Order: sequence, then structure tokens, then C-alpha cells
Amino acid sequence: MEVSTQSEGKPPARDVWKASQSGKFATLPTGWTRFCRIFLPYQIWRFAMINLKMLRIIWKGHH
Amino acid sequence: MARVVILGAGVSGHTAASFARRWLGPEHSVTVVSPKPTYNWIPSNIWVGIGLMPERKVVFDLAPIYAKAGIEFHQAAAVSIHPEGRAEDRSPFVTIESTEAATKGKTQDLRYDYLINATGPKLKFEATPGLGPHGGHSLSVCTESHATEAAKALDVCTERMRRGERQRFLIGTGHGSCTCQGAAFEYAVNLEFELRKRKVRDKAEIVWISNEYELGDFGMGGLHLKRGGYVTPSKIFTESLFAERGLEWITRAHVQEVQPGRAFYETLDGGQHQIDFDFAMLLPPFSGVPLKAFDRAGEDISDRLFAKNGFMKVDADYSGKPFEKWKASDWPRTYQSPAFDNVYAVGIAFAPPHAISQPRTSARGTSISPTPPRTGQPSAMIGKVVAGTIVDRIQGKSVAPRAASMAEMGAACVASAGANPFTGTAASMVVYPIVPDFERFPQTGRDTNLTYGEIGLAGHWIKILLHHMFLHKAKLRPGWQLVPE
Ligand SMILES: Cc1cc2nc3c(=O)[nH]c(=O)nc-3n(C[C@H](O)[C@H](O)[C@H](O)COP(=O)(O)OP(=O)(O)OC[C@H]3O[C@@H](n4cnc5c(N)ncnc54)[C@H](O)[C@@H]3O)c2cc1C
Repeated sequence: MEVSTQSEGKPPARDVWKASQSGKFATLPTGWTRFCRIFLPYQIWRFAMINLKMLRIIWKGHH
Repeated sequence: MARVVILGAGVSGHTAASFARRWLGPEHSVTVVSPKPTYNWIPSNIWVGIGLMPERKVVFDLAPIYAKAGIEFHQAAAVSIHPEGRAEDRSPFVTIESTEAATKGKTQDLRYDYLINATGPKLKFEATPGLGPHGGHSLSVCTESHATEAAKALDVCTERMRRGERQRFLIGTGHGSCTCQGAAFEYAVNLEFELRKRKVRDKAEIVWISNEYELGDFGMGGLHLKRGGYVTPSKIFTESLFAERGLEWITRAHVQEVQPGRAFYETLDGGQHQIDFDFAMLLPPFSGVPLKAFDRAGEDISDRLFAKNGFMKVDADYSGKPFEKWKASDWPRTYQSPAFDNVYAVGIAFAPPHAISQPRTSARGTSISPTPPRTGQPSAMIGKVVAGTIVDRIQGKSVAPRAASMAEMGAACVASAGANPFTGTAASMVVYPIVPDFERFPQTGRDTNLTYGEIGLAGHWIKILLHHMFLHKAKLRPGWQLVPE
């Protein structure tokens, strides 16, 4: 099994060429997507929205 | 006076007991039987297994909580159910065997008017030779003590990596018929995050191995999410996360044997493979907790109450129709035993009518496909609904039994992908309905307006919130009943 090289402490960079070699084509997030995932103001907003979505589903299960 | 006896103090049994006690007057008794003295908030075992949380933060003693709430507690394992009583006394009863140090092995008969089987899964490590922490060669996070053992093994591997050695971590399912892939997934991505934090990620190879046909199946046949103008399968998102984190993956695999440092597995195409590892966390397959049932003459009637896999038969369609023919309506609604109307099974203890993921068999005839999951939220909701039905019956209300079909309820699930208040992430998922209904939603079986998922820090905060909220609820602290299931 091949192992991708990673630099210490950083997310490993799995290169697309290697992925295609093992027949595993995968969609990778862009830098912007990864930034948004931990960007505080946006995540505070997402926190509220996800909670609402979850409450909606719980409410639906009870009625 | 009515006696309600609940076997099991996990998510479903504890919820059923708490609500039954709350809704019933003091003239009725609520009794819980569980072989362990503690309650374990299982979802947080993942963090214990990574070394981020001590075991004591995910367990608490049940006896004082039950004493305060007025619930009778027996630290014992249920052994057999006698729904017709005995020839001389027709009162139904259950035989329990004490697991307390002072009275270990002593049996006792507990009479009941209503019985709830909430015994959860039997962790069937023995299905795969060498699997599991009890004399085997792999680790688990299914119980708090398994998780602690995994954390210790992780520390040993970390030390080796700090000395410059490379380590291979094999994470996933330890048998072709496993369920609960979501838990193994959480462990894999949390492990990756933690290794980065420990600055040894470059020395680690993490390999996912599972019985799923595609990544992201999770025993639910995967799910589809609306994203960027497409309805996209969970396979795409899961592969993306694994690729981003540098995780290798092996799917369609049945682990046949685990030897020290080596796992042997078969794939759907009939291939025989082996993989070496330094650390393996492989979940076991589940079966029902082996309980026997006897009629009043002492004849074994276990097959009337239980399916072959040991789970209890309830109001589902067990006719065994082909996979392509099953319908959402085959799934149970009231969880009442068809054999005895005062017996119910909730949570993992009830027998699902069929697989949700397409069953598949390898070229060698080995079944390699996930069995249906029953996660915490539906388990708790079912426990509450059954408690409500029993209370209605005790109070003589002539109302229809309360219903909670997994084909009509949704589930919210948050899978931690790294624990840090600023850089952590989690995959937050909402799926509706849990069991796909292709009559209502012909394209994907689910409502794509409600089924939803995203990865981000907010999910990690929600996961922390859930940990505290559910422990607050389970400890029956003020306002516990307001915390949703
Ligand atoms: C590592 C892991 C992580 C998970 N993470 C999540 C998550 O993030 N979200 C989620 O929704 N779900 C999660 N799950 C699934 C969730 O834990 C289960 O759905 C839930 O615990 C099922 O509840 P239950 O009451 O059916 O069984 P359990 O919670 O397993 O409870 C069974 C109870 O029965 C008792 N018992 C056993 N044998 C006997 C006997 N003979 N007599 C009497 N009592 C007996 C046990 O001691 C226990 O108290 C996870 C599971 C695992 C293993």
C-alpha cells in the first residue's frame, strides 16, 4: 500500500495523481472551503442554522 | 398496581425507564435490570479512545440516580423470559442473574406486567478469530474500558513514531456483517486529527477497512445531499474527507482473521488479502443479547420471541421478501412482540426486518454488506414512545399505541472529525427518513429538502453541546425531560 507524504503538523497533501493511480478519484475541498470550515463568524452562523435543521427533524419525528 | 420491568440501561432502556417513572403514579413500579452499575454515554467513547477524555467523563453510577427517581435497580443480567409464568402461577416473570460482587451468580425471578427488552447489542468479537481486546489482537471503542485500552495503545504507537518509527493504523469493521460504520469513521478521522496535533502524522499511515460497498454507506445505503446543483451521494463527501486527510481505504471487505499485527480479509470479488498493522481498531458485528424464553410448561419458546440473530421480533414484516421488494412500511411502529402483547423491544434489541444497504455475497459465498444501524436518537425516541404506550395502557386510556417508525422519523447525527474548539471539525448530518421510503421519495428514498450534511467547526461545538446535554438528561438533572431525544 502506498503512503502519501505529509509535512509535520499540517494536513497531509494527498496528490491527485497518486489517488488516480490507486483508482480512487476523489473530490478535494478548495482552500476557500477549508477556510470557511473554521472561520469563526461563518461557523457561528452555521451553528445556529444546523441546530435549527436538527430541531426541525426532531420536531417532525414527534408529530 | 402495575410492574414495568426494563432490561438494559443504555440509551433506549434508560430513556424508557425515566419517562415511564415520570408519567406513572407512585402506586406503579418501574424496575431496571442491567449487568453494569454504570451508564455509558457511548458516542463520547470515541474521544476516550483517542485519549482526549478520561473514562469517568462518559460514565456515571446508576444506583443513586435511580434511587432518587424512584426507579428500582438490579445490577444483574437478564437470562430468560417467562411470558406465561409457571403452571402454578401465571404471572409473567423474567429470571435475572446478579453481577454484583457480593451476590454474583445468584438468580432471582422478577414479575412483570409490562416488559421492555432494551438489552442493546451483544458485541460478537468471536465471529472473527483474533478480533477484539478480550484475548484478540485488535482494539475497540464499543465500551468505555475498550476505549481506554485503545487510548493506551495509541500512546505506545505515538512514542514509537516520536522515535522515528512508522506505524500503520487499521480502522474499520472486523467482519463482513458489521454495522455502526459511523463510529469507526469518527474514530479514524479523530485519530488523524490527533496524530497531527501530536506532530507525528508524517509517520502514520491510516487505512480504513470496511464491509461497505462504497465509502459513506454507513449501513443506510448511503444518503444523498443537495449540493451545488446536484444531488450527491455521501460516497463523494466521505471519499473527499478521506482523501483530504490522507486516509487510504479498503471497502467491500470481510475481515476473516486477526493475528498479532496482521489482518486477513476477503473482498467481494473473492480476493484473499492480508494487511499488516501496528494498531487496529476494528468494530465487532452485533447480535442480540442471548436471552431465552420459556412457556409455562418450561418448553423453550425462544424462536417465538427472537429472530435467528438473537434480536427480538416486534411488529415488523419478517416474511423475508427479496431485498428489491421491501417497503418502508415493513419497519415496526409500536415495537410490540407479536407473541406477547405486554412485551416490547426498543433500540438495538429489536430485530430489523431487512437490510437497508443492498445485501451482497462474495464470489466465495461470504456475505459482505452492512446490517442496519440503530443510532442513539431513534433508540431514545423508540424508548420514549414505548414507555408512553405502556403508560397509556396502565392508565386504561383507549387510544391507539404510540408509533415511531424509523421510516417516518429522521435522525440528526454529528460525527466528530477532530476535537479542538477553534480548529476542530465535525460532519453534521440530518437524514429524513432514516429508512428510505422509495414510495414517497422515489429518486433517493429520502427527502432531499431535509436530508442534509456539512463539515465544519460548528459541528464540533454541537458535538460538545450534545455530550453535556445528553449527560445532563441521563443524570435526570432539573429540566432533563425538556432535552430532546
Ligand atoms: C463507539 C460508538 C459510537 C457511537 N456514536 C454514536 C453517535 O455519535 N450518535 C448516535 O446516535 N449513535 C452512536 N452510536 C450508537 C449508539 O450508541 C446506539 O445506537 C445506542 O447505544 C443504542 O442504544 P440501546 O439502548 O439499544 O443499547 P445500549 O446503549 O448498548 O444499551 C444496552 C443496555 O443493555 C444492557 N444489557 C446487556 N445485556 C443485558 C442483559 N442480559 N440483561 C439486562 N441488560 C443487559 C447493557 O449493559 C446496556 O445497559 C455509537 C455506538 C458506538 C459503539
